Amino acid sequence: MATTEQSSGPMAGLQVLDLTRGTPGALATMLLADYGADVIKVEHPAGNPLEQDPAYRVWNRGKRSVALDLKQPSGLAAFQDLARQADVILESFRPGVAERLGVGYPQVSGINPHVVYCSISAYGPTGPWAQRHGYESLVAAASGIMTEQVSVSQGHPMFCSIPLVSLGTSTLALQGILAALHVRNISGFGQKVETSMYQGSAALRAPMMPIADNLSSLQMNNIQPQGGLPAYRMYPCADDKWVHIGCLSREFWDKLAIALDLMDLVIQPEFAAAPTGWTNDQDRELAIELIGHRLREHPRSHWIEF
Amino acid sequence: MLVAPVLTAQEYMDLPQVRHNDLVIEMNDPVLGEMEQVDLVLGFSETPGKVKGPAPLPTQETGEEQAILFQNNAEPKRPNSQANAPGHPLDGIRVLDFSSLIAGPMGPMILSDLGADVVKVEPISGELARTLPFLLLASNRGKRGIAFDMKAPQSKEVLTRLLTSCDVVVHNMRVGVAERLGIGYEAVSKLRPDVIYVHSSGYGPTGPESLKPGFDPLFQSMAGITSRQGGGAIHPVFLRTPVCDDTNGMLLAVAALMAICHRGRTGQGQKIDLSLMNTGAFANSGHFMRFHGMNDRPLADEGLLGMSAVNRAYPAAEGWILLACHQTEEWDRLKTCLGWSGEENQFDEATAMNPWNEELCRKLAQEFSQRPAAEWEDMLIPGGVPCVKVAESILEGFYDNSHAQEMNMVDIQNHSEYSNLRQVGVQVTLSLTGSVAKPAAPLIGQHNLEILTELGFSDQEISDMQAAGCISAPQQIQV
Repeated sequence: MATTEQSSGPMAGLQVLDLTRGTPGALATMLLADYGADVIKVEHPAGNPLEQDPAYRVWNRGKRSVALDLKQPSGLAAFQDLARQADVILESFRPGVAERLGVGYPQVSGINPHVVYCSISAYGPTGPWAQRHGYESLVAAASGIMTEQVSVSQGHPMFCSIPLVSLGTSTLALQGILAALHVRNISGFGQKVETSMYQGSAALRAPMMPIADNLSSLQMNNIQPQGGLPAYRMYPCADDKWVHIGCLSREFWDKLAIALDLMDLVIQPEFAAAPTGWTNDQDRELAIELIGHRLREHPRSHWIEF
Repeated sequence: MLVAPVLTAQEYMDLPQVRHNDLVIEMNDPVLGEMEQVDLVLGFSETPGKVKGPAPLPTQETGEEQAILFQNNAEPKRPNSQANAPGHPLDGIRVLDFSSLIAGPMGPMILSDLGADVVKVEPISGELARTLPFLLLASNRGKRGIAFDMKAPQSKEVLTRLLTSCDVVVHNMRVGVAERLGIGYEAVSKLRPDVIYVHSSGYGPTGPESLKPGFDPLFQSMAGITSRQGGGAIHPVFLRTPVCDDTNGMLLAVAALMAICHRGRTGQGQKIDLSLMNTGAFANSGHFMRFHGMNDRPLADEGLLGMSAVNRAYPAAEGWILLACHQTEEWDRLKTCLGWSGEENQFDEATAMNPWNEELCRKLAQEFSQRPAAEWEDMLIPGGVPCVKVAESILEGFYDNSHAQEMNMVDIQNHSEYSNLRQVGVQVTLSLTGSVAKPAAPLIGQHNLEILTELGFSDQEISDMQAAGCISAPQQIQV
């Protein structure tokens, strides 16, 4: 059994070449670097206007960078030198571009058959949307993320302030890469891994997405931007600081009622099926009003310690 | 109490439990200077990893001059080759999944999609998500189900044989509960020294809040996600997508796979800790930071439609269109497509890209109101303008979407209880080792008989256990 240094991670010794631009690739190779891989980012000498946000100082940490113009023979040759040694290569060009540049899987596997090569596109390599732009907000809009949220005006889509698509895509790509590395460990075979931002947006949201003719979802929570269920929503306190209550069980409902000294919530028949089984909106809204009113009586520090 | 404060990401960074989890690391960044940012979020007991240093500066020279090389290139990469690759990447890996709801079960489901044999272990009454069938279905596809009373004396042998047979154990019980049930890391690693043992908790395995249960919305709010989301509207806004749960499930699979790779090379197993608290910091890592001169970053407008005039949603004559210009040439193409050649050219790159130019917003809103969103797509996308019609439902965005269908992204199940059941299929493809078409989530204890027989229990022993009420009665399944 090999011994490992204290600081080295499960990916120690792994050599990764990162040709991607944007958040999905950056997050994926950040995790590889944090857990031990040696990541070299290949960038165009002109720089990358899309990575100006300070967040990229975090997401690109622990990597090294090399500027190569892949359209020049010397740039391509330098890339090939690196690609021969790489265990993993990631790219996020539009479908077809990597091959045209000479850095696609067919070319790379010719010089390094053991490589695990991951393509992250916007919508997949083929299909009607294959050549569309792949920015975070575009994919969020196209895949239904913006519409699923409860915005401040009814029926309006909502712009998400955290990169849900990229969170899903980066972890999805890593799952494919790591599964392929496992296969290589036991068989020696490299292979191509493919995913897309559109698929990442679906994979991340999979737990809430099933539909069937006779399957209901948590519709109640769909009514207000602070949450629609009385014990699963946010409320402001007297000092305009907010609390988030998060529970779906009766046991907690009763505890909440006691803590707020609102025993009606426990005793009154209209709240008998709380916190999730509301049969009408009036009862549910009455509970929200009672809880909200009580929380408004004191500053947040009166209600919770943290 | 299941109540948490709504905080900013910076307030989150100072919570005692966040500090206890070592979630904040100081860094001397060559661009931003002394700063704090998110530290490692996954805890590997044997191979912890380390943030190596800041991001590189944009490179000035070209690569040939730098002669950059990989650091660890001592040994050539020639892994032992066998004649055959496995049919599916995780063939032969068995996962024992004691977890419930979303943040746990989603991870083992992903391992199942990649070919692992995942056994879902439940109490006879079923896990918590059994009361919310859509959740149960969505995070348990492809698993086999066994249900028994873990506290019954006869169950000890069942547990022992299950644990001995598995490579990976996953649970998301509250801190201390697994140990009381006899399935803590220490007990399991005695039976199976190279086990990969994953515990996903709310706040982390130790520390001031560690004994509290935790649910997604609390971490959305503490980590600064709801306050930023609603920032332009002045009050916090909840994301209906349970981003901490979902991201945690995705990270769980990543962490288990990293440990599987490490074990493949070294034979060493380990314990992995992840928590919703840490995952919240990862999910909001773009804002979980502090540096001198950090201005408040731009927030969405009060209608929460976007971040600038050229990166936001506009109502069209029918539906909504999302415009996302991030580069000068994209903004120029939009002007060309709209035929803006007169006074509109006053909107140069700087005014367009910077939030918020009200006049430009109004002008664009007026333009977009002239045609249906679908027409704008046809007109602007071929012109190279990044825009898209906002999908009005999950049907339009995914299930009935011609692109999703053509790319086989939708998983259609023929289910005994739910007709026309559709869910998200496997979303990553491997060229050599395919993923697996898996059946829908198991019923409670659906595979009791099959699994107990595999573990070497006789029919008599199984019916005795059933008579004693320690395993669930067999379920009638129609497929």
